[in-house]
Amino acid sequence: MIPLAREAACLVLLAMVPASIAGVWHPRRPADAPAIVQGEVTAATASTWRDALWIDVRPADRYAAGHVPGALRLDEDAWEDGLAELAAHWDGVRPIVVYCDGGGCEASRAVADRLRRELAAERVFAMQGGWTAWSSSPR
Amino acid sequence: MVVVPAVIALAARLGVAGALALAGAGHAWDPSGFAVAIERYRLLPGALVPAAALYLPWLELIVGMRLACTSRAQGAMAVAVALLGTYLAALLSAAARGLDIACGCFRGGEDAGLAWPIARVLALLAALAVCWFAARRGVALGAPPVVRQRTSLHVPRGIHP
Repeated sequence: MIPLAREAACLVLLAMVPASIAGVWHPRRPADAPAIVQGEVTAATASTWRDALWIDVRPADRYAAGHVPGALRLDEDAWEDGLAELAAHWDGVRPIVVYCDGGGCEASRAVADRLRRELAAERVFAMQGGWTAWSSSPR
Repeated sequence: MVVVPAVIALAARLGVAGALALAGAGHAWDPSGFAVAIERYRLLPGALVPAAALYLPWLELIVGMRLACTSRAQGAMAVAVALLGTYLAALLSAAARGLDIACGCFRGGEDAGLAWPIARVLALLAALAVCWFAARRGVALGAPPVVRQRTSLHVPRGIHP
């Protein structure tokens, strides 16, 4: 039992060495800010960005029922049309915030990833918690 | 006592080692992406997510390499069970909360849905159980069983009193 515990402890400690090096030198190390990880932003933070371009990826009926003021609706099934409308509103600098219904939906992350690729833009974020979080957050 | 055929033990050990090393290498390549995957489970406080995203890939990679190298690495097996047990608990918790998220188990595109990742982790835990019994019996390939020979004290003739 002691050799087993010794080997396990050695492995656990050994992994800390490259992890520490990666924490300093890795070009893709995660952000230190606790409220945000790369590619996502909290509703509270995003609502303070006055120049943000909001993208709503929910179905049309939910968009019609209520959305972030000024948000454009982007339908993945009509991607090219949506992208053209987005390009007309985006100056290449403003952060883009994509949201869907709530925390469990993956559409906002998928669309944010796709926009990041196709627009070659870095400041594209999926909003954590989606419309549910935004509509319930104090402003 | 459970007897495990050597070929099955070898396949189980290399399967677990390969899965852990592959997952670890992918996550170590892109810790930011792994941090996003961890955060989606909403189990860890935000401050711990970056640390976990930096540390876990290397633990997976090192444990996978250790398992690939020797059939008697029961310490590595114990760490692998702890890792996979943690992942299984996270997956079950996400499924119970109705989160529609991608597993984040390997680098690259994965479809949302947790049933297949849960089944995969269960299969890896079963393979680890096979490795464990094989290591106890010393039957895995490359590790011949230890045979204890009965020794007797040889006393030359003529020395008897």
